[in-house]
Amino acid sequence: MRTKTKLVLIPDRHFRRATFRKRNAGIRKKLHELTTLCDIKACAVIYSPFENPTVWPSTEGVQEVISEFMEKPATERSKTMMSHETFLRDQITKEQNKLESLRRENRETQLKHFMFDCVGGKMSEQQYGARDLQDLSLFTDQYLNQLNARKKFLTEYGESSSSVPPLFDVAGANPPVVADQAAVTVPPLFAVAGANLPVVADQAAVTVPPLFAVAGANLPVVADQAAVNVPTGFHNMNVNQNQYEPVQPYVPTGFSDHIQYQNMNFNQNQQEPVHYQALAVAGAGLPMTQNQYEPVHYQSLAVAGGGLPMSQLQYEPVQPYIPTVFSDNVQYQHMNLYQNQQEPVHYQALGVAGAGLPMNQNQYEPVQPYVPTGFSDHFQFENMNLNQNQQEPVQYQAPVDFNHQIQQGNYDMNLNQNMKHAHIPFMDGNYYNYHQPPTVGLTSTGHMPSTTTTTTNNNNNNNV
Amino acid sequence: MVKKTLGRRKVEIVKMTKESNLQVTFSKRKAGLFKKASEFCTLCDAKIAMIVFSPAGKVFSFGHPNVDVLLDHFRGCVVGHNNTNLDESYTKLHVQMLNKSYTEVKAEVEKEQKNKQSRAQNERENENAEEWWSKSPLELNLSQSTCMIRVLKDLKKIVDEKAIQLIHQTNPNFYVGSSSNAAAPATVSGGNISTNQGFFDQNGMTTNPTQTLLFGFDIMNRTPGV
Repeated sequence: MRTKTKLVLIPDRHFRRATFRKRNAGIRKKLHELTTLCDIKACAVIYSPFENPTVWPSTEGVQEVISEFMEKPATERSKTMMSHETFLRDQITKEQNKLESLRRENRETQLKHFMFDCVGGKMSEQQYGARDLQDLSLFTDQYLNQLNARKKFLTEYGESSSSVPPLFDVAGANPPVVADQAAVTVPPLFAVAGANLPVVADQAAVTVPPLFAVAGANLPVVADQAAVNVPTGFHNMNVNQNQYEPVQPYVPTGFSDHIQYQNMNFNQNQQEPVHYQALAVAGAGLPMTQNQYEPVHYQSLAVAGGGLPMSQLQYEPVQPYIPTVFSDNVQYQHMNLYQNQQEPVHYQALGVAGAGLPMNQNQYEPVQPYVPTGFSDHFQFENMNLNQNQQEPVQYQAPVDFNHQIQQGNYDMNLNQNMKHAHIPFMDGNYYNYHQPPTVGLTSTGHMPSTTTTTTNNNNNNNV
Repeated sequence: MVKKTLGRRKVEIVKMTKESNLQVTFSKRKAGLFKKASEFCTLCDAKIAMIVFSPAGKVFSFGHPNVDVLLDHFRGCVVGHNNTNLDESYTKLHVQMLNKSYTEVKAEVEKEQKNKQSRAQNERENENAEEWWSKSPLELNLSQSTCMIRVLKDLKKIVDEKAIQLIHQTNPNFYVGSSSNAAAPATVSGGNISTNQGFFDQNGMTTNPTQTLLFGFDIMNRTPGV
């Protein structure tokens, strides 16, 4: 029934008069309530074209209030004085501010719905213009600031641990959200934007472990290779060098002879201790022989005479006069070793036999440097000394140039016979000494087979 | 029934006992009284002069057309009747215009309020179907905030690109315009630069995965060989 009252002058005179009466009563009532509730003074003077002026509360009251009103300074009165115009202007200002506030709120609500619709994949390109999009961009910035503040708050207060399970849930929910946006709103742009981030995240989660794994795996692998290959390489290189170098420079028979002599030297080294032990069993003079070879000569000199020193002097110059090369030198050294083994026996014999033996030695030593040929002759000579007497003529007959050596052989046979006649128990020891060299002699008897065997042994040693 | 709150409650017209509420009540009721007086003047062409003293002793007055004139008239001092008529006529017209503006503003305010109420109602209706990301930022946890931040950044980028495209579509109008559009091309160029930056960022983002994939493939290829 009640309708909105329009703020315009009521055209109907009678209706206007009735409204005047009713509203006049209303204003009086409000004045009464105000003065009663707040215990204040107030008055009102109302003129009307219809009736005589009315006052509230009464004429005397009005006069009293007006008197107090006039007593106030003019500035104070005018400051708070309102007219109908000023009052209406203030009212309009208030309403406009209210309107502006409401519009702002409605706009924000609208943008929020718009944003969430886009997130949910419900955006429609056609409905919005550039201004709306710009407003949406600004609103999104503000919302992002709020989210960042929220995230910072959560991070500071340690809620990240509790949010781990939701992270998985969100991770599961996230792709469809992005996919929905891509599928519905801006397929190319959203598809790219939506597809990249999860892919990048997945790659980051997937690729980093392989990177570390490979980085960790490469080093030990390389180390293993280094540990395995380098020694192997060196070993192989050494083996190759060892096998290769001796072969090239010593392709002639010198190589095999060299190896033979090395082995023979080893054998001699093994034989010498046995020799000394035998000597120890033989008598007290042997310790002197073990410790020093030359003192033995001096003892012999004490027994035999001054002839031995002369023989030593003759012996030493002989070695440097040998004209042959390396292999011949080696052979000669070997022969010297044999002599060293034999000479102690000779000295003991000297002690027993007499001065005759020293003379034999003197004859023997000068003969060696006069041998014209080198390797083969010396070698065969050794065989003759070590082997039995029966073999000697055969070897001598085969080489035609060995007439002189035959004579030397005769001298050696004489020495052997003398030894047999003189000492039977020492001859047993001598037999042991002779048996060991014969093994070497047998090896040296077959040049080619021994060479092959030696080479094979070397290879076996290298392989092992 | 006795209400717990004082809203829409009939007040007994007696002196208020609470001094703290006295000032508030005076202020509200004074405003209402003056508003009623204003409407009274408009509707019934009445002339009113009201004087009110506040509990603090200040004086407030409302008068149409003016308090001084009306009080003088009340005390029997009649001054310049012709001048009074002229002032009254001018005041009437001005008051009419102000009332019209006031009415329009109030109408718009009511319209916005209706819009607000309808949106609120829609929100209440859709509250059940609301997704987790529609909640207030204060209700999200760390992972949800992170996810939402990322999604909104993507959305913002796309919205900026669309806005720039729309502005770009209106470029011909700018160029055909007057000299005042001299600054417009610069602005548009700035927009283009933004677009390029966006594309650059996008290209960068698209390139990184590829490089990462290649790197991963290289690692995978190397592993068996090693």
